[in-house]
Amino acid sequence: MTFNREAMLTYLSDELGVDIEDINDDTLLFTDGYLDSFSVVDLVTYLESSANISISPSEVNLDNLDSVGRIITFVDVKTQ
Amino acid sequence: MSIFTFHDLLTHNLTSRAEQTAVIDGERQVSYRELSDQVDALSTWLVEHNVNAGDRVGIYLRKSIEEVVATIAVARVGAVFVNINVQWKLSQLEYVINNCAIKTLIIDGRGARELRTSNVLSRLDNIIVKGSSSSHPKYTAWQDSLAKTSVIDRPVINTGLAALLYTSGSTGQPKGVMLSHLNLLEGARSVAKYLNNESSDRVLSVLPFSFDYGLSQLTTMFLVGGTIVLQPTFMPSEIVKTLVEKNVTGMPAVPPTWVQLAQYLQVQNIEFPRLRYLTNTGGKIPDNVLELLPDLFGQPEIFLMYGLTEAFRSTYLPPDMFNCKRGSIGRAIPNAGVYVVDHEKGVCGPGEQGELLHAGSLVSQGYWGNPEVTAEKFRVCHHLENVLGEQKVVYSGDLVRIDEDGYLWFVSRLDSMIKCSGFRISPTEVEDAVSASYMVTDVVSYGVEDRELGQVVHVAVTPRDSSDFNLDVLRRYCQKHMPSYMQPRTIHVWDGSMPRTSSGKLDRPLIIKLATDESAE
Repeated sequence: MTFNREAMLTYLSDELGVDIEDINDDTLLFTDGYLDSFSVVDLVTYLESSANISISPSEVNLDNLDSVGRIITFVDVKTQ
Repeated sequence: MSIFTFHDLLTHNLTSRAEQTAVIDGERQVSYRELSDQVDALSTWLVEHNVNAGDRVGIYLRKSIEEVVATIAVARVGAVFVNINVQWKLSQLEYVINNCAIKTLIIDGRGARELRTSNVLSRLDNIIVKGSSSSHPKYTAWQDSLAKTSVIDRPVINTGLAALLYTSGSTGQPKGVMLSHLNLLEGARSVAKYLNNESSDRVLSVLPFSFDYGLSQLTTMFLVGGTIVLQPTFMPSEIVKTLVEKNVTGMPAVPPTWVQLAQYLQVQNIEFPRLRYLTNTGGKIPDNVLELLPDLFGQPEIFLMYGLTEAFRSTYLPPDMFNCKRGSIGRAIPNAGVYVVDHEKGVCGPGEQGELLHAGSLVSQGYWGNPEVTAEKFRVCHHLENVLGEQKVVYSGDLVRIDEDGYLWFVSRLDSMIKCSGFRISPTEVEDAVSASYMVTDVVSYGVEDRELGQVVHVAVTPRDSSDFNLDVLRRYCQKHMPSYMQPRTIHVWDGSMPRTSSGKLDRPLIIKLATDESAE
């Protein structure tokens, strides 16, 4: 698996049921209810395997994960 | 002043603590006076838009100050608030709108965009939208609904209906449990008493108001003039941040949240100097997590509770019994009649087990529009006639055991209701939702034990056309149309038609046994 914007949008749509027509890079996925508590673990597992990174519990927060833009930035920093 | 109605819970604070913070919502907060001003304005709008006493008003909002304002304003005008969990998808929202004939809906922008394509839109008269959405003749912006305030002359009495809380049973679709103002107030008085709540308390609100115990954080804090701290997201790091930054004194949650918080706090070193108590409801916390909680949270008082929406709240284990009775659901809360009855032998004593029955002023008014199921669930128990006369009690459907000291322990359900993450799910509800995909013929759903969530949903299905059946497509259909907690974790694809009983019905016990045996292999 590789990590990129397109693959993540496909994942959000196919696996987590997000209507990707209704979101942009800044849409707040958890705060605005596109994703709920059940999706957190799935999303983290997906990011760890697709981007080959390890995410600690303290990194699982809204600053890192609440939008497509934030997730991309977070993964970029982790893989640098 | 005397507190008779839900709205009085707000206004009684205006005499002595109008400037005290009532609600904290992230970076925003409102005092009791500011909240009351917004409630008066929205109440004016509701009256001017023909919302009459007894009308059901749907509230489908993320946790926010606006949700609090809407809930109280609806009660203020004698209408019935129906808070719908935002985890619910459009199809569940449509079901509730149809089931209790909602004409006025208060919704956020995202919901309003989805609603535009729904055929229930034609059944609604007015929709207040919080946040941006494209315009529609029926849509009013939240700000515009607060534009003016006039005097409202609308008497409300405490036995009137205040709320419908939708919950599931062992069969069929979710039912609206009817709560009167008195039910909600007596519930708040009982809970605030044993939690020793006072005006200096700041209680976290992470559970939805569509859930009886979630609503109880609002009612108890307003009863004592305390502060409710809204927490819209469940991430452990975010909950912990709010607990610390907002000086939260009381934290209620359900088992999966405690499991996740415990995992998080075991690798962090965080102190909670202001946290006075924790409360759990909605299922049993795994014991190896429960034993960690005192140390992880700085030795707060821990209250383990049990309740069912039909009677608001029933029992609790006092914190001084936590060590010797850890895992028990305790005894009756103040002013609640809780009985354990073996339907053949009668009232149970120590060492015996039976169904938990609940009597008293917290007993709700039944299910909206469903007198048959109400009559089954709320009825006279002849074993209790010498104590209660002809008074009806709620049959919980929960089998409990009384220990030698009179404390109660949950044993099992007496029916096939599934409970996941504190949510009640009826197998029929899952089966109807899966059938609506038109991809399957037979469907049987059932609960499977899960350490973190209590139970999770599994289904067995027979494909309608096995040559064209795609499991991934069915899974995606479930994700789109069912709330997360209801989505099947495992879908067993049945080879051929499912076994039937002699009367031609699906042989559910056998199907469940074969499907679980297969997954155990």
